Amino acid sequence: MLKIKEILQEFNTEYIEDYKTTWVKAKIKDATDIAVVAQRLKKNGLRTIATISPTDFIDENKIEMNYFFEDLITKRNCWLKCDIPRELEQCKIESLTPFFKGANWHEREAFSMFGVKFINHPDLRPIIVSQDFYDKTPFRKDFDWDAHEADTLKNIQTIVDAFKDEEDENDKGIGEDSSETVLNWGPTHPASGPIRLKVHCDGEDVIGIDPDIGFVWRALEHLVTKKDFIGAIVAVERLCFMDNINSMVGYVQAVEEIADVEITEFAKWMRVLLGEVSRISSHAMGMGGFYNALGLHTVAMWNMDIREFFLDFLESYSGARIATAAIEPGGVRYGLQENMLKELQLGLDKFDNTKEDIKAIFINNPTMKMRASKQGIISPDMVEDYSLCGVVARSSGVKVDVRIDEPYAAYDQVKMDYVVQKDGSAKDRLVNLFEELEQSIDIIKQAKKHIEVGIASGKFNPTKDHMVKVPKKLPKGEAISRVEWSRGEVLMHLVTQEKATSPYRLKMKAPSFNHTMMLDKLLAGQTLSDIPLIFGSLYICQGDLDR
Amino acid sequence: MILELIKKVYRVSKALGVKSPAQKDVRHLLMHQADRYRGEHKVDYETCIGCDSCNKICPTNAILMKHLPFKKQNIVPEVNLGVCIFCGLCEDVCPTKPQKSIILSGGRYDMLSGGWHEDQENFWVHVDVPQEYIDSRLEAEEAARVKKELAQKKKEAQLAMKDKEVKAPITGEPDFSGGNL
Amino acid sequence: MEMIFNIVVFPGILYILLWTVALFWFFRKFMAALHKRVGPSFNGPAGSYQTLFDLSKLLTKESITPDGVNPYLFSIMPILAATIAIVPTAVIPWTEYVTVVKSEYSLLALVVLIGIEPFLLFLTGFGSNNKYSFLGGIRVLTQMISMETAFFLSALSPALLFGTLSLTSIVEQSSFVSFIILLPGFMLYFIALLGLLDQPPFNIPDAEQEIVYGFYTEYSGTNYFLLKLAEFAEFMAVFAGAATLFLGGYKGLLFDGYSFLFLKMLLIAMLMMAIRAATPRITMKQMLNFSWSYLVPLSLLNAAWIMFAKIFLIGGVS
Repeated sequence: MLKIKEILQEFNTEYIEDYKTTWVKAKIKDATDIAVVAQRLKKNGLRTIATISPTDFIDENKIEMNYFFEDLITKRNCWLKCDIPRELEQCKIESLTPFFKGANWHEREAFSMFGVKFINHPDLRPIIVSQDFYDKTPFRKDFDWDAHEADTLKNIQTIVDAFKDEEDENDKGIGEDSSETVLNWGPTHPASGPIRLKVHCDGEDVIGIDPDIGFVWRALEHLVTKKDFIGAIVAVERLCFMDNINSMVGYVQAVEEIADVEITEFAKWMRVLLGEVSRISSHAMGMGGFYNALGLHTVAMWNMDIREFFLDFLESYSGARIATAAIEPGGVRYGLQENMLKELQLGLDKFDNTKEDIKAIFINNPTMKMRASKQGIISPDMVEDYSLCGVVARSSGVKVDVRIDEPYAAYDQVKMDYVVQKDGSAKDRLVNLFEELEQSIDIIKQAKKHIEVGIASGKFNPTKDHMVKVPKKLPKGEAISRVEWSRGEVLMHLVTQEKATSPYRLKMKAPSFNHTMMLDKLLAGQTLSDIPLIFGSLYICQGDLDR
Repeated sequence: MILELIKKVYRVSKALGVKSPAQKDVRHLLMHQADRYRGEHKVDYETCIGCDSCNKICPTNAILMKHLPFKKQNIVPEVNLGVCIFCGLCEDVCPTKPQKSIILSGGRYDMLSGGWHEDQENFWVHVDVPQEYIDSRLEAEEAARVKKELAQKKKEAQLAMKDKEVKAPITGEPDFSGGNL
Repeated sequence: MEMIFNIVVFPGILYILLWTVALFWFFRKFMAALHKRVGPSFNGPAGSYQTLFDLSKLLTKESITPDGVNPYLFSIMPILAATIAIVPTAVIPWTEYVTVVKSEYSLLALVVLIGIEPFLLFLTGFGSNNKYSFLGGIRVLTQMISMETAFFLSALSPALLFGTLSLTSIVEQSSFVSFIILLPGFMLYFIALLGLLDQPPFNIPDAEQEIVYGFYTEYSGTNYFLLKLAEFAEFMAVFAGAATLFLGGYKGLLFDGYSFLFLKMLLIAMLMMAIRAATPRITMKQMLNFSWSYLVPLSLLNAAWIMFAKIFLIGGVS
């Protein structure tokens, strides 16, 4: 950390301070220095850039850019800020893409939503938004949503015309000398979900891939600013509602930090328990999704059988099976009763009965190994350059897990270790998913025992200890909070104004965004059969890809 | 490798012996009962105090308040089930004791009603307030108003009488004080 | 008179329709049991009316013909494919008395008729104005050509053993000893059968996750039903061929009859389903490698074993 501060002191800064134990927070005065600072930091080892997020301060007539640099090996992180003017012609800053390959799409997103232009970016096109939002800046505070949506038919016509032009261009290459064409592995494909990949191919060989995302864009980051702090949890949980609890934990931790509120020990253990149940629900579907891409549906069906017991527990606890809304600022929303833990035990027993069969048939399957053990190989250098995280990073051998590096909730009292594989191929990602499933079951057993002992000894009161009061109006401040979501690391950056009843700006960094950036590099030179295999193994969810 | 495949096939066939959990006819019965299940709303117009908290906290603006012809406590919530996301925040925030005025827990399946729906109005939770209740509330308000007026008049009359008592002794009485002897 | 009964009822059109409906229902229930779920269970006893309802739904849907297709290829091919798939049932001996066309070369007719199907299916893919259908059609050709060779070679091994190409005399001459001798041939025939019928692990032309639905993509309604009828009739022809050539046809334990042939066909169907539930799909290059490097040389070796067995074990060449 000292080294980072030394580097930063050579430049013209407003302040440099420590933030939590692993972050250095600094603001540089001159926005043209950013490329030089970034390169110095990269030489020192901070090779990963997590996300780039602008905040629009309309009253002070400026836009503040936030850069988050991480070092995955030695766990040092740096948060840089700088100001740029707000008028559209002067809203420019130098791009970091030539040095950090993982910054490519984040800068495109800042350009589409806020109108920030990045000089020297290789390919600055809009992303996520549809054609009727081009040249407009939807997330600025002075954008008029009602005026834009008044004429829906005109917006639809813009999109349709753009698609027809593209279709004519795609077929130009087909003729007598070549069979190169662009195939739409598209939104109405049985295996893709709502994403469109423009596959530039020659017969069955793939030449290049250009993902076109944005079919599930709900503008969640804008929606959150219109609700109060408690009502915002229903927007945050829809990041991907397979694993909704961990994303809510990230948001409420930022709120509690700004409000300076400490939650009870019981609430922390409940957050661990619910988070791991939700992680199991998501990983079970992820394994099924990988095998569905290979044409074998048995795994998905057997995993659903196990998952139903865990969803029964969530239904008894919170009242809904999937979109639970069970974490609020101040703790967890409901108290715990005895019969709920008995239902949880049924799920744990069912998993222990079935796991030997699943391991023997599907994890050691010779046909799957023949198919997937040489495809989609990701090396540890690529993990750092493109800022990958979660299952994808750990199966290439990089030891990164937010629950161990920066413990939150009650994870500092849980016994756990990194689950890593060696090679980084598609098969390793599947094996890693299964081993993480076993690790989650182990953590649930630890948390359950701890809670039962606490209730029996009188330390925890399960019907009263679950929530503390958080004030309705928060002071001015900002906070970041990282959690280990099932697909990777989610970083939430929350900004509030004085006496605020709702968030001023919430930035959610989604892991699937960085994973989808990799598809072009992994699939160039392979055949059409490999597209669903590699796409399914990267554990992408379109909900958090588009937000 | 062929031997491996035969072993896999044998182990998969063991699934033939596992009983599936889908034993009930789900068109008519529930698979899993939970007390806290968030289903269709039940609104109690008698205990509702008209504080408007449920309307303010609803994240999707699914609640519309219905006006009743009273002076105080004159709004009750009605819910649009097509917009509601069944999050349960309105039940959490309702201040009525001992039983809340808007309850989702234990409600029936959201939207599962069978048959055809010709009209959007079927997807609302309406509050039918019977005429006797309105009449009885209006009577009670009227009675309270009359009582207040009577009490006011009584108070004014008492004040007037006290004034008269203070003014009365100034009309001529012999002075037994003694003068300066 | 009897000829008309044979053509229309048994083993004719009505029989094939009944077989399609019953086999589809059986596939769904058996697959569901392997997946730990229940399958169709609401319509009729154990869901047996479900396939009839699906059938009538398909027949009453609109058959959409997209813009820009080749009209002859698109509309006529399904009818042609269904007709040619039904013909092999005429040469198979269903019971001792019922064989519609008795001839000396019935085995040859069976194999050739099964082998014409892939060309018709490729033409359906070629005629739809769709890149995915075209890719599906090319995959069909590539796969069928590799698997046909192994299929042909292993289907000829009973003919080598018994010295005749007529299916009726093969069934009459079969016994327990010949079953043991033909066992390797039966295993090779079974693997080639999986490749011929687009079943896992060789369901490459029908790869839903990669090329939407292969050459079936643009079909709907009655056209689609005719293509599916062709596929199921091919199932029947191939299963019946396996039961007749290797397992002894209609011969049974205490008495002979049609029910034993039915039971043998059902056994092969269950084995196919169990493999389907345990194996993912392999790619085109791996399938070609497997077929030409392992399957075809093994079937040639099998032919050598048959000759050896015939000379030394059964009684010499007559």
